[in-house]
Amino acid sequence: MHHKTVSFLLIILLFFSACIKQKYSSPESILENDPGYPRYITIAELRSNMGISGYKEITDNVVISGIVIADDKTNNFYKQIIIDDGTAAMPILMDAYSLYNDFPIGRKIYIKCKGLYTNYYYKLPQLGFAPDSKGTISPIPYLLWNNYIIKANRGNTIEPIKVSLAEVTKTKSELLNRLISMDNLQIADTSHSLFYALPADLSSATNITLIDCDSNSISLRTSGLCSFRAVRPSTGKGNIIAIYATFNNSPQLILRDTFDIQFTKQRCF
Amino acid sequence: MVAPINKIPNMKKHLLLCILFFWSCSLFAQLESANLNGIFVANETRKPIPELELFFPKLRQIYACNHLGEFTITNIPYGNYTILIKQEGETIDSFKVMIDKAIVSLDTLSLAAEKLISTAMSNQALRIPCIALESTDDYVLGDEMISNQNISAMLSSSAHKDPYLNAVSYTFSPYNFHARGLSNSQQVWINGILMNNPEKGNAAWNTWSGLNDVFKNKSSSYGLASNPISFGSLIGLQAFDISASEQARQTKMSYSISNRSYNNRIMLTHSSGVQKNGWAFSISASRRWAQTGYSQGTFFDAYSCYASIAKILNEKHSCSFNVFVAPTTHARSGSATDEVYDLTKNHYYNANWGWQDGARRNAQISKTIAPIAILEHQYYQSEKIKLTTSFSFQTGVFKNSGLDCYDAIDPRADYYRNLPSYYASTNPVAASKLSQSIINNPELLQIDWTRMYLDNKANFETVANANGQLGNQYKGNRSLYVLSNDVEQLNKISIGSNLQYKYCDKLLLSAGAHYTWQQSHDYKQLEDLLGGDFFVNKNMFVAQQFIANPSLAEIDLNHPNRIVEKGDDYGYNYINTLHKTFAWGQMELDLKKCKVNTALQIGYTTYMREGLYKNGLFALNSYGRSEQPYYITYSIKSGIEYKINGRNYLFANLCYGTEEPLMNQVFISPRTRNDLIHQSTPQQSQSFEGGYFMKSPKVQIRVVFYAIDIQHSINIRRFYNDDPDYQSYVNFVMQNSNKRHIGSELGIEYCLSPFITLNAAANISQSYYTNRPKVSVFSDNDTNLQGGNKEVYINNYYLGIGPQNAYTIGISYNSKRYWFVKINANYFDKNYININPARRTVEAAELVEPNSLLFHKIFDQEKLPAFYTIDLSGGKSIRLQKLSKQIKNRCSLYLSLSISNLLNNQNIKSMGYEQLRYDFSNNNPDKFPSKYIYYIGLTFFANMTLKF
Repeated sequence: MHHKTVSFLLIILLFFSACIKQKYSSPESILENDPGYPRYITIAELRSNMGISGYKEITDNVVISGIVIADDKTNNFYKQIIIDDGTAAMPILMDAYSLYNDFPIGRKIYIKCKGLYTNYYYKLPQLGFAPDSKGTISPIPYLLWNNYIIKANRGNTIEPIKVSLAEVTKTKSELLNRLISMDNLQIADTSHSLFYALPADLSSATNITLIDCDSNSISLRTSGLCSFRAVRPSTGKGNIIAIYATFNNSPQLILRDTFDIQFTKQRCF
Repeated sequence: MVAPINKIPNMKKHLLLCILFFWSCSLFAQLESANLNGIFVANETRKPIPELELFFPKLRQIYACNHLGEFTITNIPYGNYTILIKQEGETIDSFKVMIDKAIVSLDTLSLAAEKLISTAMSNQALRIPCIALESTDDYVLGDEMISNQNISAMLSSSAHKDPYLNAVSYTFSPYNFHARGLSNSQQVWINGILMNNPEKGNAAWNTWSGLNDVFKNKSSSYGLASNPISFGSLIGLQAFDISASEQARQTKMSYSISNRSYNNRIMLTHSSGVQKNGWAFSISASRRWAQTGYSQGTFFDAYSCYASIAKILNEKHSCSFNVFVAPTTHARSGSATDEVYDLTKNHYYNANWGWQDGARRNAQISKTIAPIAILEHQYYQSEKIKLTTSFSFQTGVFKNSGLDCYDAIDPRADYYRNLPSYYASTNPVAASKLSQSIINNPELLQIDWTRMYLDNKANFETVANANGQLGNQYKGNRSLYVLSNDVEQLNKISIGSNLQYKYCDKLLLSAGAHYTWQQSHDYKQLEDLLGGDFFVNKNMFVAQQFIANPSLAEIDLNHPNRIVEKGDDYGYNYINTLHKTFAWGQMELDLKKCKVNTALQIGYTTYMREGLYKNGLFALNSYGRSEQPYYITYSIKSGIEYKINGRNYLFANLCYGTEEPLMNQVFISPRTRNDLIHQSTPQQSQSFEGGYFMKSPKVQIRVVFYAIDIQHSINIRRFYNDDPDYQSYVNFVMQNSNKRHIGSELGIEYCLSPFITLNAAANISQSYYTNRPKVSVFSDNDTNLQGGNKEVYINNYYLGIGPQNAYTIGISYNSKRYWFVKINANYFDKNYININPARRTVEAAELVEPNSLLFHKIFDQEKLPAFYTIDLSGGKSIRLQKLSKQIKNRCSLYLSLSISNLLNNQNIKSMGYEQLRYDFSNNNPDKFPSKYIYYIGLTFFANMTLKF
């Protein structure tokens, strides 16, 4: 009987001895701090190495860094974010939706550029992955992000560059992709511009012409998939903050969100 | 010799007490008692037959024989008894005895070999099926989970005397073989209660897994054979009796080690047997666990408990109360595409895990805890009438976890848009660079928990009008990713009654009635916020699509904008209630030359869904009670067995019947609304089986041909479709499909010598569709019917139910010295993958040149490669008294080892399916390629059992 009891107890001990791990402690937010990588070159330098057209592979060990100035939260930017390091700005093509969760406006990132490609998309510079047969570079595949992109701290601020419309009606190369701020702008034709954009099944994107009081004009281009496409822009006059882009030689503005437009003053005409 | 005199007053005292308490008791009116002893030997070899059990129906008592076939039973009241001889819980023979003196010695009782369980397996403790009763490897088919957990236990009881069924249970089933091409349809009874879930059709074996010791008393029938327990099903039934009075007095401890779904198992069982006062009790407990199962990132953690108490009130009445529970938690693995298997160079790649906190954390965890209590009463009138009435209650929770996200990057580790194949056609350079990176670091294809946590922790948001209160601002980190549970809270009450009336020796009448009320509360539960503070009960896709009408995106209009925290329900929330009743009657006539049976069953089933959310998209038909569809069903069957002589038999059985559709096949989308599918009618079936069997001491042969035709069957498959047009769960409804299952089954067992047995079995079958049913697709995110009512050209396509041809040949050696070894070589073929009916439509054929390579690629059904395997098992039993005289005679140790897939072939695709999503715009069948599961390589199961 004694043996029986002992063996029973032994087995019961075994019974409860093996714990299976089912609780996991959460990763520390410290991982989001700026690792302080040395920056090898500026974005302006990177741009100067791009050549004048087509794509080009970056073969040197270069690292750039910058702060996200535009993301895809409103879907007006598609599979890309734009970073700015104070010298220039560059769109980074990345293959996923909802990039803004990982790369929201204000987040600093480092990019190990070796193996990536620069390209001109209708004369607009961009940084991405290997080119396809048509010569367009692909967004960086999601699974390879960690090979190229190092995330740093969030919450940095970037001040838009104040310019007047007259300065940028002809494409100004050094301002491309940068966040600019212009005052005293208004929608040219209030009767037709009911919404920021037509739905995507009618048109992939819609242009609205903005003018200043001197009748200088620029297009505001909004995607048909954008979450504010069905919002009616204010018809007053005022300040706009937007990304300065170009399509071939036509400069255009791309809005990050409607709060970047403050057309609250009375129109010039 | 007379029983010791001093025992008599004690016994009298007990009996008097019994009589006082149970005035109707007359069982022990005969106060004289006796001892009975004897020994069982095999007829041919004269070898003792160990481990038999003797059951006295009159006393409701069961006794175990020892290792050497000997038995000594004391204190049996004088009288005439019929004694049933049981092996492995199944009655194999009976004899009559008159107890009219103090010691009745039966000396040597010989049993014919054909009555015994296969000689190579004659030792119960050594019988280890390739996958034990509790195995719970899950297969994920789209988003439906198919569990093969019940495969081995299926049929295993009838397997004993039938070489074919033996092969199915222990050899074929682990390789995804389904007898007669039918899955999930075997009836499972426990003490008079039908265990199949009327909502899903299957019996949840994992609610009692790990209790192998006490789930061994069973009777079963295969196919259309008659059984006094129930009318049965197309594939037969299995009925367990777990009451304490059915468990022989014994204590058992066992420990097993394995590399299958778990690594360790401990089982403890103690049964008192029926004591002199008529009480019996039995308890059993087990634990099974693995830190890591066969594939990476899986774990297994299961307990099980059982207790039963039984009381023989008198010779007419007995009752038992049985409870059992098997809390089980395990991490699942899934299927994947060839591309992923090739990239990771791992056929057991599991997309469900990722590193967190230094460990592999799995997102898909299944948790089950569903205790069942069964109260059973049995009434006997002599040996003529047996009336069993049972009542059972089950309450429990089944949870399956998974990742959920809101406006975030798809967290699935093998998401198709992240794989090289997604880039292959547009950008081969990118594809090859990506491939190389994954080959260098396969862990890229695992879940990135860290990214999700950090994103959640940084996603500060203010929710306006939170919880539907104007002006109520809720601030915090809104989780973009959460871990959620699909929860099913089950309550089930069943009442069953079974009457067996032996009108005369030749005629047995049986009848039964059974009622089940079942209520399941299904909802999504937030399990883990993954570092965030809250989640909002909203439909993201609808919110983005219908910007102008935000109320459409409300999952519950009664509680708009509701903040969801850990443990809260969200997403969907409804209660399914069903009532299922059936009654049947059967006649079995045993004439000199033939046996005839016929049976009739009628049933009534009704279903109701009650929505607890008022879904913004389905505001008028999601909240509150649904219509209550009802189904009246009937079945009739008849069979004949003709005895050519005592060893050769012919038989034929026929069945025609209807069966109600399962509850989850009646509502289009129970997660969102009350809508029923159009004209859900009961499924019809016609079934025939006929064959020959031979039972002789040396040879056993069974040859059967069967044909089953099924019409009007309904099949709803639900899966997440991330096509930009859907981005939601879609419900793929296929109605009025007809199927045919035909085949031949062959089993042979031949005793070369008393020690060597050869066995062979084969199944040659075809299970296929026989018409062109209609398919409609309904989205959870769209109020419109999206897929139309399309005809699908699936006539003559095979059902994806595992290998349709299976063969095995084996030899076993059974030593005089109580050890055995058995080896089997198996071959499987005609294993077709499950087709996507949408790929067999006019639309899929449009613009494709007929008979072109592409045409065949789209329309032909893939057959998985045939394969062969070798299984090996062996065991030994040791009488411990040999080692030390101090050890009691009945104390013995059993050792066994079974090895499956001895050649460690890790390239066997055991099942596959075409994804239900199809690229209609480009007619590219490779865009959403088929997914597969590989059969596990060499696995072993070693067991050690101590019995005393």
